[in-house]
Amino acid sequence: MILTEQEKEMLAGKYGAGMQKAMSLLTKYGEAFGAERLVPIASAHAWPIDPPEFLLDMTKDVERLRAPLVTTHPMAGNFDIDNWRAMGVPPDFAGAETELFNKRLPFYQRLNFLQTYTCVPNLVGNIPLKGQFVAFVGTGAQLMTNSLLGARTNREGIPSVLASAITGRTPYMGLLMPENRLAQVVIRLRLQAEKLNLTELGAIGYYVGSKAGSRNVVFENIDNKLTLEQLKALMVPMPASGAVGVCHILGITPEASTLEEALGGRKPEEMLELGNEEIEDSFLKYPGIDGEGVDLVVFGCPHLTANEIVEVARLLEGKKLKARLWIGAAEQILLLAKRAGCASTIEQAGGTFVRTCMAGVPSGKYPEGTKVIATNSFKAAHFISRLSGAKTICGSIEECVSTAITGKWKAKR
Amino acid sequence: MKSIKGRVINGGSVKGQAIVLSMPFSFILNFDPLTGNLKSGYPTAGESLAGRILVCPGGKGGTVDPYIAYEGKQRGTAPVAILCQTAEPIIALSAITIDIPMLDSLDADIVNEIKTGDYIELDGETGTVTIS
Repeated sequence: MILTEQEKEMLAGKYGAGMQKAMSLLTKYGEAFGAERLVPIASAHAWPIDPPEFLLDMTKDVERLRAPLVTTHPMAGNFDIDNWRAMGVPPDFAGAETELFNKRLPFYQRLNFLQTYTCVPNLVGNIPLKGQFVAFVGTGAQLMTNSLLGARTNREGIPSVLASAITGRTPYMGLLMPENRLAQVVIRLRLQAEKLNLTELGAIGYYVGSKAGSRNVVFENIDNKLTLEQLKALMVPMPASGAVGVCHILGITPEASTLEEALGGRKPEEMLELGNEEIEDSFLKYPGIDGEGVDLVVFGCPHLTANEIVEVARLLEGKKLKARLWIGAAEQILLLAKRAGCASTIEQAGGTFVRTCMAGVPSGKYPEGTKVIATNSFKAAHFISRLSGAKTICGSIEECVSTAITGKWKAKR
Repeated sequence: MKSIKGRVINGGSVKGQAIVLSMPFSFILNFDPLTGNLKSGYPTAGESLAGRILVCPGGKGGTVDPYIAYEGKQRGTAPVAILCQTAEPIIALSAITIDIPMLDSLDADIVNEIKTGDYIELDGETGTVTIS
């Protein structure tokens, strides 16, 4: 790998042991996957779950982060430092996590990590521009940043992002290179996307991921009426059922003004035509039976926008919940919802706002006796069903809210 | 005695017993850092990776993998090296994070030619593996 003079000095230890270790990690990682150089990053999005001893090693003698902006991903595994009691997760688990959290915090504070604790960093100021290089964790954040903003991130691992935050560099490889961002699978919808609800859009994304695998996709007939919430719902399940890193939408996303641009003049490897059947295919993977008891309803995979919180509050006006309701959102977004007067509606009904990964990754703990969990997110359903041992139902926001009120599933499809 | 060559992903040299896996491997899904054993669900569940040289076709990347490997390293339950046919980013990052020797793209069908229990010498400077 060809390094600049400054990068060579970083690797040689001139900037201290932590910088040296971070640079060594990135150069080995880059060399393993054919990178010929490192590039400066505009920002990073890090998962603040580093083992304290590793964090100590990586930040030794580091005076400041070289990445211009670093935000943080949610707390992991259904642990929220402030709200774990209200969530009802096991106290022994929360105690161990609290200890780890408090050991890490001084490192993050000393180096000015912006503790956003959200999986949608684009909503709280981490908004890199088209063509800029970044290093992000979070498969949903990676996909949205690559696709909606046209900034470029690989599907990074947690330690490589930490190393990028420290050094301000990332290996130039993979999805950072224009030729690897071109669409390989072309998708045509047999229905109008803007008429679908968020969960139905998620059902399409979930199906697309299972067919596309790690290939880039382009939707060729979605019009520009879609909201940010709808685009988020469509995209985020793709790297759960698959490993999609870029999802172009013809005429909407910045690298797909024409089909020729999205494909780079190449022929598509595959064409998919999707309609109600494929939506149903996704729903059938996480079905509910009318009348069955539901213990917990999970919203916020990915974390909700302020508008989505307004919508949930509207449905909960004057109601009381029988099931637990967890709502994942960034603290900064929650503040907007509080000022707008709707967060209290949800809290009075019995809902709890949290800053955790709502899919429960990597190994979420749930309140004792939780047997059935409902969610409006296919990504959450995918991971919760695999990690929790609980039965998982996926439905619309309306279905999930009425289920939270009655404590029993009732399908409206 | 047989010698094979591979591409160095992380350097360093080590000798030890092989544990050969037939399917792609993930630390979060398949490895218990408390015991060093393969978790249930994996075809050879219960076998230990602790202190052995992990031989596998490749990784299947869980985001948290490098830190599960790190926990294993701290507890002394992690493998001491990794040989894999084709490395994906996460398994490579796991080896780099815990700084154990790792090779990929070996010029032999390692998963079939190496048997669990074989004694291996791995030279992570030259990318050579010797099986005895």
